[in-house]
Amino acid sequence: MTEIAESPRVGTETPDLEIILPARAENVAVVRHAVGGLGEVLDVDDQTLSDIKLAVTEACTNVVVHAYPDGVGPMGLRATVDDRRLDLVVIDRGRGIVPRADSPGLGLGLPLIATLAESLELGTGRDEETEVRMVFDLGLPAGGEELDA
Amino acid sequence: MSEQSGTNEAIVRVRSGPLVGAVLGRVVGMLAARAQCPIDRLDDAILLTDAVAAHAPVHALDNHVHVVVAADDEYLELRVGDLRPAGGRRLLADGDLPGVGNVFDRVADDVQAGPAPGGDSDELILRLNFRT
Repeated sequence: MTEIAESPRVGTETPDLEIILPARAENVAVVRHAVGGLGEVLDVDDQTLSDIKLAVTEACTNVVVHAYPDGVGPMGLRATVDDRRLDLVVIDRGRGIVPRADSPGLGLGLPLIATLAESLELGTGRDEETEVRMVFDLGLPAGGEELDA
Repeated sequence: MSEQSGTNEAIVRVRSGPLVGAVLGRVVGMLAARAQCPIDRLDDAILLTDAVAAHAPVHALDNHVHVVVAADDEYLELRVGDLRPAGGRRLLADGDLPGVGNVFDRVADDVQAGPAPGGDSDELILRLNFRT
């Protein structure tokens, strides 16, 4: 069962992958594509990888739509792999995750991520970044060699 | 996380190993395509990226490869940073191919290797112009 928690968090680990880009709509696809490369190297099965990419896309879209009402700021992804568990954190330096009466979306993004991921945490990271932290169980390799991570 | 300018710029930091080529190639390809990079230059960009992915881990300060990819309508730039002292020149030298020459020099329009601003590390800057 997916657990949703909201808590302050201080990240200390060095991620295997970190990408930071401007929070623009076109860059959501860049992050999604990079996650595809990650999944390929980790030999993740198609269904799991599809779930991961969808969850990351939703989280990044939330950053683009909600984080910076007055302009564009940074959007980041940190990925850490440990024993076939993938810890993905989508980060921004926007106004935080707050309810919006004027939200242009349906409000389904976070519930969808919660459904797709093994766990979901919303919080504040180092340097007061807003974090959406998702954990995925990668299962057994789909075939081929496992990443020496 | 640093603030970004208006230029489309990706800061990529990848653990050395197979992730470097897989991730960096996709990021460079996407940014180049978004910048309306001509197809021949896109091929060149991927060639440079593959060479960086193959050789940069040896010269990195830690176990990660750090690349800033910047693109706009006129150019694509790869700034390979966090390299050991003289790592920029050594990475550049790794691009030598017998009978061909240096792949970085031959493919990129502008190549700069040396200490990064601040002087704590070295960097290699590769720039591809879309219009000549």
